[in-house]
Amino acid sequence: MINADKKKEMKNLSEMLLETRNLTKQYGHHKAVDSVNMHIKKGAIYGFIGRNGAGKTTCLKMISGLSKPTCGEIEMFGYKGKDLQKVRSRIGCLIEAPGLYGNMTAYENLNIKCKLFGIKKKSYIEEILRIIGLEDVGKKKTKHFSLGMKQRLGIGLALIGDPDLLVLDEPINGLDPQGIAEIRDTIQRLQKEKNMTICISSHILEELSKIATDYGIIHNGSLLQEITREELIRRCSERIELTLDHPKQAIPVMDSMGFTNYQVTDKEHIHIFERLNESAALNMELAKSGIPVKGISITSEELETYFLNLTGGADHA
Amino acid sequence: MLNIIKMDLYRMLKTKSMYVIWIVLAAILLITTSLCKTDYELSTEKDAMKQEQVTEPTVDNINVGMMVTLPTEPGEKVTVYDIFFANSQGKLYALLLVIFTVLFSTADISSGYIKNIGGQVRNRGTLIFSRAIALAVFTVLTMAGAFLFQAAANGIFFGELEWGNTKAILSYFVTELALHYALVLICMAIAIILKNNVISMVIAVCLSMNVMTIVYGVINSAIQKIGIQNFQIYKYTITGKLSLLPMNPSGNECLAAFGVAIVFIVIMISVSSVVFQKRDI
Repeated sequence: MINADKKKEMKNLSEMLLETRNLTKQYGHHKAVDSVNMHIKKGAIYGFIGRNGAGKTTCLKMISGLSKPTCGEIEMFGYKGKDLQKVRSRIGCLIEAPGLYGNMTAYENLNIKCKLFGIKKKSYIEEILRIIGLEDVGKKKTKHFSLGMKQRLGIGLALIGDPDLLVLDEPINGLDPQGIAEIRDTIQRLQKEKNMTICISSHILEELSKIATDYGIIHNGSLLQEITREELIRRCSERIELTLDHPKQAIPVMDSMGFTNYQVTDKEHIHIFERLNESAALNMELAKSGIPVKGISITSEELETYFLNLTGGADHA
Repeated sequence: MLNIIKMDLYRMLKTKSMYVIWIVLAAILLITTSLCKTDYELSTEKDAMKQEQVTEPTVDNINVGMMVTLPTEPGEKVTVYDIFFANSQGKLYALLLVIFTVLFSTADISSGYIKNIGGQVRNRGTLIFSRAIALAVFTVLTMAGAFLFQAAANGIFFGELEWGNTKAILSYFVTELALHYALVLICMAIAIILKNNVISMVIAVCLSMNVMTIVYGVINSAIQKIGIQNFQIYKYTITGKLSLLPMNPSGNECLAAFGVAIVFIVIMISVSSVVFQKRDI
């Protein structure tokens, strides 16, 4: 008989669109990506966060089939190993700068890839141009496009063939606020209208936080953390931060006081996310119970601070 | 596979450099025909005899660089085939073909467009096969077009149209086509392996200009020192065969040239495919 945990685990696996196991890419002695275990759920917008040179692009290139892993495994749509070739066409990608033929129009650039997929309908390309907001560019050569227009056309190219997974590497890099908003709207529309799973990398955290449903934080080639949007919000929200020698001793006291929304974060800290005005009473109760409190404060974190703390502090940024 | 070929053909038809190459070729054909007419009219019988001696290709007089020499014998009419042969021996077609080959073969790599498609094909090696097909179409169109345009140029400058010996034209044209295509694929392989347009272009131009003759000379003498007398590496290379194919090739000469061309075509497509398949984009 399958128990509840096992059922839950199986459900999670069936919901998983992409999974990597110990994915590694080594150049000489340098590991650009080191044993990354990534999990992307179906329908998610997975925000892949990391500094420049953290290994985001290398990781996404391996997922997109542009680069071969040194070791490790990628499982997508239930396929892995050599069978992965069968589902390669279900991924659309925009890696680094958009690759375009400058002497051709947006329509011609899209049409080249349409030929690869055997798509002949003119209306198909027109629909993609509409989605990315380039329906009015006419015969303008792409070398005369603005960076934002090029990025959108890059996304358009990734959309050809109706991929189930869209991999976007730094699509908002170098864009002005309006360009960023346009890309954001396009991504959100795609996820809603086409139920597409999107993996988007960026180092602009505030922008990513507006659209991502899940996050993966990569640093020096290693995936430090995978976290849901809800969990990240919780971790960054206002809280009582309790510093103690032995946090476990405080749990019965907190339970007796009716605290339920708290988390023991490490060997010295407990974060309490409710009843923030009762910090003094909590301090007294702990003292009465003979539990020495080294520190108690009310704090909150910006997403950026959370990220910097996780990756080694602002001095490295 | 058919879709990939269609994609590359569409890409080729949309490439501006293809039309530029054809316009340049047409212009050069007009110039060379005009110059040939002047030479033909001014040449004395003695000059013509001298000319005949140098235009008959042998391993000892392989030209390095470009030189268009009319093979028409004194008193005979200048045929379309004469000037086509002269231009072919002068490496005009080879030069223009390899220039386009380098530009076309690396266009998707240098523009980054390959990132849009490279991960979505089951076998990346098929992308090489498809561009080899596209280059075959380009080679046939260019050489057939050049022959027909040469006919028009002859009509304009000489006021009459003499095609030449049909059997010789057919055997020479088809053999040259195979050899030029093999040279094109060598240059495609170089461009794909090196991923550098400038270096690839320099090597391709040097190859088409017979600069390898210097290297071949060294190889010949090294092999002859081992004990294999009368060894000539020209007989086993594309550039050598291109230079040595006579105006009236025998069946054996055509077969030997075809053999060398096919070996190089197969090797170049295989090597490029393996490199492209294994290398990260």
